[in-house]
Amino acid sequence: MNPESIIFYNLFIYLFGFVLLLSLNKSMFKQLSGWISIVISVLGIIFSSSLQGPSTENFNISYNWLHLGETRINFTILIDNQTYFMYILVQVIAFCVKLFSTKYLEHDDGINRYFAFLNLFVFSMLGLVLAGNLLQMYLFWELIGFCSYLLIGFWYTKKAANSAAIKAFLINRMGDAFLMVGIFLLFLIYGNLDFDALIPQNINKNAFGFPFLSSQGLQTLAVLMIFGGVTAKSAQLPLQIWLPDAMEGPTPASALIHAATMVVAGIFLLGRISPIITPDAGLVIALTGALTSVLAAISAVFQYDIKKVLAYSTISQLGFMVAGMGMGAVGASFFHLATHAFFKAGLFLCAGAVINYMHHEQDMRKMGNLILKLPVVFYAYVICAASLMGLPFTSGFLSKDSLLNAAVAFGTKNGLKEIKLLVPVMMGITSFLTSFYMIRQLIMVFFQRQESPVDKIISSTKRTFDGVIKSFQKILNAENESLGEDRLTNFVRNLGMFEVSIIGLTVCSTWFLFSSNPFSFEEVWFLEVFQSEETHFSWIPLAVGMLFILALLISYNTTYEELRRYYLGEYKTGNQRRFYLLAKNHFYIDRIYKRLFFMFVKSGETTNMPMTAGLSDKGLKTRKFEIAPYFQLIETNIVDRLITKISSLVLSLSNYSSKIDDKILDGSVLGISFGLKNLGDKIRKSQSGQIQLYILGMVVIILCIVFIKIIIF
Amino acid sequence: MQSGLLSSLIILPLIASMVILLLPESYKGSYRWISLIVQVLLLIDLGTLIGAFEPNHSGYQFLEHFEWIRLTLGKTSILSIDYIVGIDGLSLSMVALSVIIFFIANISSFSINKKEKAYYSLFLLLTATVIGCFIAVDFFLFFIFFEFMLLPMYFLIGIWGGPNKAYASLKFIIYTLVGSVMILVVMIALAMSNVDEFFTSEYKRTVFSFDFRILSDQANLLKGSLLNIETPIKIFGVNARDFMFILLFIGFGIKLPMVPFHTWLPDAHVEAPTPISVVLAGVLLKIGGYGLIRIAYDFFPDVAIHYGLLISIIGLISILYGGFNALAQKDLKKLIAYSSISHMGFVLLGFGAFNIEGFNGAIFQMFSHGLLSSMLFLIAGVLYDRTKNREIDNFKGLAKIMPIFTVLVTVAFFGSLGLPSLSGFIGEFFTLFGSFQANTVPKVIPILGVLGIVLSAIYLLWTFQKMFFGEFWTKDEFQNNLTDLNQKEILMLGILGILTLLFGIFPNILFDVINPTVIQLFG
Repeated sequence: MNPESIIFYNLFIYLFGFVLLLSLNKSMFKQLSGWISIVISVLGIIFSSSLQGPSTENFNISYNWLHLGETRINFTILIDNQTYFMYILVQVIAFCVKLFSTKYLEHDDGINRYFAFLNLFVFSMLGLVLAGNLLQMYLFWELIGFCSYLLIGFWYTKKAANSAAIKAFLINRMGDAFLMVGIFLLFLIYGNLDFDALIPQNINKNAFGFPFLSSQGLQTLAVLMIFGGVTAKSAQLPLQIWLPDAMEGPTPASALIHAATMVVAGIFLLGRISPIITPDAGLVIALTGALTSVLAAISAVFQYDIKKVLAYSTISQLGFMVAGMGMGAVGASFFHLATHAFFKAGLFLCAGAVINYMHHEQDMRKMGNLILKLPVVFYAYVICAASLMGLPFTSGFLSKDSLLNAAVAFGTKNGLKEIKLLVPVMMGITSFLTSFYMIRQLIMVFFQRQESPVDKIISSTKRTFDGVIKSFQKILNAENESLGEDRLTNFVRNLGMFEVSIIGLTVCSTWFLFSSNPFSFEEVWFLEVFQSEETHFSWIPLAVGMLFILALLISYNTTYEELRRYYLGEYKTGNQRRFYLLAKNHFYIDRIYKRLFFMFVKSGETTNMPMTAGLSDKGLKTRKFEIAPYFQLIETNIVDRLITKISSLVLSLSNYSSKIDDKILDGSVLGISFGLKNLGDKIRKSQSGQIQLYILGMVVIILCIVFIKIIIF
Repeated sequence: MQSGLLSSLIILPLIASMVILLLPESYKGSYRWISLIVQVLLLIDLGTLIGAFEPNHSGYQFLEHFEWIRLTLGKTSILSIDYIVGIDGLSLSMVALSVIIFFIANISSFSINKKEKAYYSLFLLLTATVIGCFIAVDFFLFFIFFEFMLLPMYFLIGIWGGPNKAYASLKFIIYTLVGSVMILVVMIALAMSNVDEFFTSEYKRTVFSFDFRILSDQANLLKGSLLNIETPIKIFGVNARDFMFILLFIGFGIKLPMVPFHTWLPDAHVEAPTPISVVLAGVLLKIGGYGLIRIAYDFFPDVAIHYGLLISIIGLISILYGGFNALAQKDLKKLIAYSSISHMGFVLLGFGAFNIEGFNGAIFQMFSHGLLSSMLFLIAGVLYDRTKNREIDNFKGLAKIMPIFTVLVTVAFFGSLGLPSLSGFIGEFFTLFGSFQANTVPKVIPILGVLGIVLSAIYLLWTFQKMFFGEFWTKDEFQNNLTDLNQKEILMLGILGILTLLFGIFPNILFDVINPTVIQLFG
């Protein structure tokens, strides 16, 4: 088959899946919808695996789509290496997530709706990576936002889920507004929206309508506007606030959409426009990414919700990728995207398994000891977390190493005195914090501790490692004590749907999928197709390792201290508490938006409003300034009143005119007619019927006439 | 080609209107079916038209030309008024929209049980006049239809409307009449300045014509007349041509509606019965936009280009003002009415751009708004039919008991807020796109216009969330009435939803038709 028809069928089956599953609402096959969509995914992967692998030749095909006068926008399918990787990656992760979801949502009433949305999402995401021009990309860009809205708000009777969904969509809408302006600007500069045409040589030098801006400056502005869209979709400062709340959706959906695939759409877009990112724009992008990653990592350290930690961690890692794109390290950034997609999806699915086991309890402080109860999940979690922290033998090691390498090269290119230096420094801090919060989470969720709140927490290292060994034995025995059978068969037989999908992703988080050498990113086949950095700093992995050990030492102690305080009911006070709240609430960025939003809308019920997800109402009761009601006031008091005034003026005028009409015009007419009538009456009285009188009258009149005649003549 | 196809679009509903009027009361049940049959015939007519239409041909097609009035003015000139109908790409798109919307509105009218004879007879009269407006190629004929439309509309709101119907219908008619007067002035001025060269040489007298084709060609302007270009004549210190353009702009702007001449719209919508709201928002507003292109822009292109900035600013104000007002509404129908104002602001923004992209976008936006606002008003009607109430706060968690309704509402709401793959997006995107590419408009206007997209997302999603999500709750008296859609409603909303999707994914179906007309306008 040629690529064109492969892609057509591939997209079609996902869309078909969406429609089919949505129509199963009342049918008896509803429970099968998970399996139907798994079949769809398998078919999709088979289709896409027959696509030609990455090469230097790009596949490009256009269909006539829009044609307005001189402007022609085609529907273009563009397959280059970026597309190819994403195309496979999205479907593989979607497959694992679907597998996981069949168990996670098996008793849910809306299971067909859930899988339908997942299929629509995969369809839109594939459309996005195939898009050959900006408008087409925008189209799918909004569609994935729409899918995310649907999936966050999947449990639509839950108030928090609704608020989170609407918040996600609105924040993304703001980003889209920036993106749209960016698209307009790029069209102004290049006269074309195709990605192929976005190269510096094609600048249309004389069509600018902007004062004060050179063509370079205009291009920077355009790229930054596009980046505005990226900040919303990929959760960067200052539009990152929707992502932690988006965790209200079903956990597997979070894994697919809000960790692995949808949120990296922004990175993908930056990669697409990388040839035209100007150095100024690049610096802003790199700094924003680095700053976001630090802030999010700090917030992640102070979360208690298992999913929130992972959400902030996602923001932080996305910051890494964005910074990479800003530095021009497209390959490294893209490599990190791929590895992150696997290990973060793995972590989220593990979290899903934990949450499911804990009966939808998400507070990590209430967990613990899961090392024995969910051993497979524990090992998967450790591997994925190691990958996130960038430890050797994992894929994260390679990608983080390459990114940090690029960052150091970028920061030190022109000496140590430039603001650029902040980028690698912040990324280093983030690396440390990443290890810190992941270790904290591991300890809280999985490690052993005594349940009794009164006793002092005395879990020692020894006990914990006892647990590790025990859990390993348990995996092999796996609840099946009969001795005749092979241990491995037992292990496989007792694997549930959860474990299978998690193991799938965990395997993908190790090094060998990407490189033959676990210690050097230079042998990653992935990076060979991109141009890579020449300089290689060999001290970076060592530094990361040192940071990890440091984090391990500190985090191990502080986490137990934290738990002890929790059990004893001690709370932080003073400045410490203030800092804790600041970090936990992600620096109150949310609140700024809420304030802004309240300026526009007045409502009695503050909890049910967009933009308020995940916020308490404290301190926001005094709102003095609302715009929308004022508009309504203007409408009723000024515009409408003006019209009423005019009409009443017209009415009173017409009143006068009718009075004039009545009294003067009509009056005179009536007066005349009445006068005539009176005259007639009087005359009538003279009509007495006496012939003598008539004759007398006639004689008098004749005499008069004669008399007059005599006088005149 | 005098096929009579276009005339039948006017004559069929007129005859049916008479028939219904003459049928005795004992045939009461048949009125709606007669009306529906006529609408179906119109759909078939439309199908034939589309089939025979040649999109690459830029002039009027299917022309039918009959002499009507020849008024001798003194000894030197003749006023010629003809019955001419014909369509080009622009008219075809609008005729298609009106035929579809009237068909839907007719189905929706089945729930009206009061004075059916008068209702259907007026409804068919409205159908005939609205379609007549879009296919007339003679200004006089256009104006007759434009005026005559008010009569059925006045009664349809005034008799079958809500509690405050008398006020609303009067407000509607006064506003529109003021606009009509302005258009009338321009019509007379135009006719007295343009000369039909062909008949002038034939009759040996100056022949003044109302034919659109003659009016749009500036070579026909009489030297020294009121509207000539070379030696401008001033009216109140303004060039006569500018003056006339402004009159037209306000006249059609009231119909569009543009801020600040929009206040008739929310009242009329809130009071009108559902099918009339659908027609009002879906078709009648488009006559304003149609008139602006066909008359104001086509006859005064030299003037229009100077007013691009002004029109863009008014468009921007409409977008933002309508959006903010929609945000403050508590009545679902009023919210939709204000969102209409906001969406029609995009049309003005596209006109203000004065380039091919902007015009195409504006026409597309009119078409798409016709589909989507009809859908929205039907949705409000669904709730009103069941509960006689439209307060947003009275409904919560409808998704649970009305799943099919929720799916269709999702299409309508997301279409309106401009989700790509639904038609609303294409219209909004290309009006903004055109505005951004225009040299006459500062970039800040389209940039602020983009805010309109965010605003529409806020008010629509918020309403969606409040009414459809959460646990089901409503006032006790409505509880038992709230059932999911019946087949009639699924049919109406489904047709519109599918069309929205179709035009959103394949916008070229429409662009191919209107593009030649727009290019000709600038050619």
